[in-house]
Amino acid sequence: MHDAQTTAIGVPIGRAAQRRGTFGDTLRRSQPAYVLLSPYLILFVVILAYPLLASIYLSFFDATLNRAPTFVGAGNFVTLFTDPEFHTALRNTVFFAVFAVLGETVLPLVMALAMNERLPFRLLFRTAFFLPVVTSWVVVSLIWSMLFAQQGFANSLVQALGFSPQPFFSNGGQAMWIIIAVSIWKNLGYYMVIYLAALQGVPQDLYEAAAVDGATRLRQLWHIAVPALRPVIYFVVTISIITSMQLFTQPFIMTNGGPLNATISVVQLLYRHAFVQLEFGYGSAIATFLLVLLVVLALVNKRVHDLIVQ
Amino acid sequence: MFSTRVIRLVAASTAVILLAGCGSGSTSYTPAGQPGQTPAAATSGGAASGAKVHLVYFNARGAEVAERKLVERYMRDHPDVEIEYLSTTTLSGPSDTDAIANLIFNIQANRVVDVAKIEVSRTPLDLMAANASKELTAIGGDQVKTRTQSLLNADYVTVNNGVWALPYEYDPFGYVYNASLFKDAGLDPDKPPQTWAELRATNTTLKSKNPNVWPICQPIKNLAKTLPIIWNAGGDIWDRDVLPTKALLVNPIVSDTYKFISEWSQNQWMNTDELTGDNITQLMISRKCAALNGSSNAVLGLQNNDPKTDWRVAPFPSKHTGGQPPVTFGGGSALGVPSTAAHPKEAVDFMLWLTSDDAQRLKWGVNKDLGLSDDDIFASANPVSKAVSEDLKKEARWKQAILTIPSRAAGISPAYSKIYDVLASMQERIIRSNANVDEELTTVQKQAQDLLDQSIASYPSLYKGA
Amino acid sequence: MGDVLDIRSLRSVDRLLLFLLLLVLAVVAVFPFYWMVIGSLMAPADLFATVPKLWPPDPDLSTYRRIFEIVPLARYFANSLVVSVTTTVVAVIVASAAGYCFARLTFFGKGILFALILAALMVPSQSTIVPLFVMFANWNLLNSYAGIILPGVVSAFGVFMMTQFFRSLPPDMREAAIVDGASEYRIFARIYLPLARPAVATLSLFVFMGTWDQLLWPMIVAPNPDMRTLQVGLAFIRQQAPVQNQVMAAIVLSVIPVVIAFLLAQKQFIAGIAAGAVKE
Repeated sequence: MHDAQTTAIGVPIGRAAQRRGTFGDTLRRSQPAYVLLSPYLILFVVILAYPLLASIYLSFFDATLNRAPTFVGAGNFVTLFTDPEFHTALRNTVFFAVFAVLGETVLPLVMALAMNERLPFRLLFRTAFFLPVVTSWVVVSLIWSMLFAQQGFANSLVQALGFSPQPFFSNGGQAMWIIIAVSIWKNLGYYMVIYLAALQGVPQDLYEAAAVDGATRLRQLWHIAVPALRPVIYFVVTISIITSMQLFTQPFIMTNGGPLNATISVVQLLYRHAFVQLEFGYGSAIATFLLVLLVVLALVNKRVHDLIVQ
Repeated sequence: MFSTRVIRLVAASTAVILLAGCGSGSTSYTPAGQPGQTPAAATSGGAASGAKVHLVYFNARGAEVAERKLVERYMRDHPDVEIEYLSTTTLSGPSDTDAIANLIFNIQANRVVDVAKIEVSRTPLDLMAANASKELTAIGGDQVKTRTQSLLNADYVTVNNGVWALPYEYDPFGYVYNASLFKDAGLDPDKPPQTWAELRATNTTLKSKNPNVWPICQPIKNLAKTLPIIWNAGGDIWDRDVLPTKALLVNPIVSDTYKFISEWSQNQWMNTDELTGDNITQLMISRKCAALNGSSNAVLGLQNNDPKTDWRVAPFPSKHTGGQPPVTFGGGSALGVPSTAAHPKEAVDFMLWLTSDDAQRLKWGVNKDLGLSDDDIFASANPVSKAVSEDLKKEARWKQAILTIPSRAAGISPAYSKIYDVLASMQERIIRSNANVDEELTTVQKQAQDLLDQSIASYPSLYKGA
Repeated sequence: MGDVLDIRSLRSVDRLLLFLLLLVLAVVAVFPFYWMVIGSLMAPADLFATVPKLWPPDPDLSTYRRIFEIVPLARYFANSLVVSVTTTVVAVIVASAAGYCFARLTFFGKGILFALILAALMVPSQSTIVPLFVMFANWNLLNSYAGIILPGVVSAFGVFMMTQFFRSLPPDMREAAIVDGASEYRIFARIYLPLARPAVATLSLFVFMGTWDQLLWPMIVAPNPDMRTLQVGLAFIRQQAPVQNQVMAAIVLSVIPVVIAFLLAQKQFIAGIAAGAVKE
């Protein structure tokens, strides 16, 4: 593109911007930007920034119903880091994130590669894969919790195949894998289409060149198509990590964090403390921790990406 | 072109938002079956219409259709009162604590709530302890006191000479069983198990005939269904029913009870999925659960959805027979006046009407004026009015649903909610991971006693009078 | 020449395997919905029978009749529609304007503001619910469409995406327009915004689905039953419907309109997502 001369964020340095003016000049020149930006900024401050700051502020207090909050300093965080329930929630969330991101990155890629090969019934497949995408998380969680009930369809299938009925939601490990599976299942179509579009941008002559060198189609795909998709893969991984770490709806509706806290996520723990036990201060501390964690993860992700691209 | 369309869209949506912000949704919903009643429609936004009292009724406890019809009936009979109906529901799991939380946010934000429908055994004292509710005799005088005497579950809400809520719906627990399944398994349907030994025998027989069936189902993470088993074995978990000061968990009867429940789990007699409000009927009808330790009035929903099966209720088996007469836990709902109420006097009037025999007859269909369907009536559990209870028992199907054994208050105190959570978690560990019962009880005894001590320290005046 | 042509496409074996994979995944994707539909037509006793039934033995529409009796689904659906559409329109417009600013204009404080907005992506919505509720209660926004809509209008993801998109468009159009004497607003509205159609389509879809999905906030901010959105209504149905074929019927009713809309708009829908993502 024409972004040869850009600032760090990628704004082109035009002739106008390179003129050195007074500070008042800068402000005046910024005016149209501020006007265009103001609707978002005002809403952002009111809806996001202020409640978030209030929440961070509250995490240093002990606050509950109808009682004036008492300052406890870092007390909430000390309790948090020594709380075994929190360790469990963190472990569960990270476990989920690792496999969900893996599944949401790799499986749709394979599907996109397959769909790109002009197999029959492509339109039908695309519609089928998109059905879970357009359904809400609440509905999806309800459906799957009925499917995997002890006497639900899944167990009937398992028994029809000759195995003994599985505990599913009664077993912590299986419950977690069901939650991972439903999350991947729901997102398959979305990421597949993203990959598919990017795949269609890969020039055909690259494949031809490899074919001339004697590579089979599969090898062509592996050595040409996949590397070409690297920026898209990065995008998918980033979004997937951020949303996976904020896991809430699926365990909330399907297992309520059980059995025995095997599927409780960090946001669920936040909900339990803030909404159920009405410990607003402690709940805010969990929220603050999650925010810091995600910011760190995003920075690490960006650093890894920069290293790979270099 | 594109931009003019955008501008028009922006203008339209801004208009929508502004208009929407101007007023709340007025009551335009007419429940099905209501004979052509138009409710006293006045938008709360512009309520400057004379002497009308505006009450806010927040329902955090279900039975929505019946409640809305009662609200409309009250407004029709009292044209000077206008009631705004708000409600919330639980989002997941067996407990309704997150529904109550919704109510509490409103109180926390100083929103006016005049009447709240809440859970009866935990919430009234939780609210009282947080100064979030008003004492009722101070508002309604002797009328309130007299009313509590004609209601069941009154001991849940009468603490230290104060009345903190009025019981509203009564939900006793019993042994709900599939008599047809019993007959098919060779058991006598008229003789449900009455002792632990008989329950063991029944469960063994049922399991051997139907390996896929759970002979006994009970919520796993729960205390309320376990307490009656302890009581009927001759024990208790604290020193007294109201405002207990000592937790007494380390004793043989409590230990035996939890070991008995552990036995159900080890022998695979018990459900492995947690019971939630929406799967209990399903589990019974599909013959996955042969019997249920739960709400006795579940039998009504079962009969309604599966009339071909013979559904029965009996008191839950006691450890031995011949001891004291059996008791059960009577859960249910209650009505309270939050601290943010704007019209406490009118609120209490409304509550007195709702708990009156007349209104209870309407709610349970003894008087068919409201036109409630069966499913709507069954959602309300049982009446809390002793007189209406007797009325209902004349109907065969209700006779079973209203368990005739008395109920007993359970450690009512500001600490009860937290102790409930601790014990429910312990029960889950015992059931799911075969935890050692005696070790668990020793650990939990300390936690429970700490909670009781904290409660005593925080509310000295409450305990002084007790 | 012949050899190269053979190698350029997949071997039949590989082709078959890939096709089977897609087939299996497609069945897995669709089956739960199929099960909902047939389940809603079955009696409760048949629903969880030990031997699974793949077809209702006695199709029965009374469940649907009962659902319409218990809950005003049409009203809930209308509420969801109003909320989702308004949120989408406002969010997209606001995010586009902001995205354009960060992509093309220079102004004081730009770097910090952008970083802050990105950080907002990392905030779980559950953590801001209580302070927001208290704020909205004080401003009398409870039980109103505005109360439900407002938090959804702030889309950090939207700003991020629109920034990336506008950055990928050539800057010389702006420079040429400046030389011609056009104001910044004109440049944005007349030149860049029309070009943003694919990204706008993608973002609209994203915001719409996200708002449609919402459960916690609408339930908390609008306890008036007439203001309930569809997801909140489904939560209530779970409470009021004792048997699960009723819950299934409600689910089917809530999913059908969305599926129909998707089927109608499929091409633009998917083209929009693809175009928006490829620009990343």
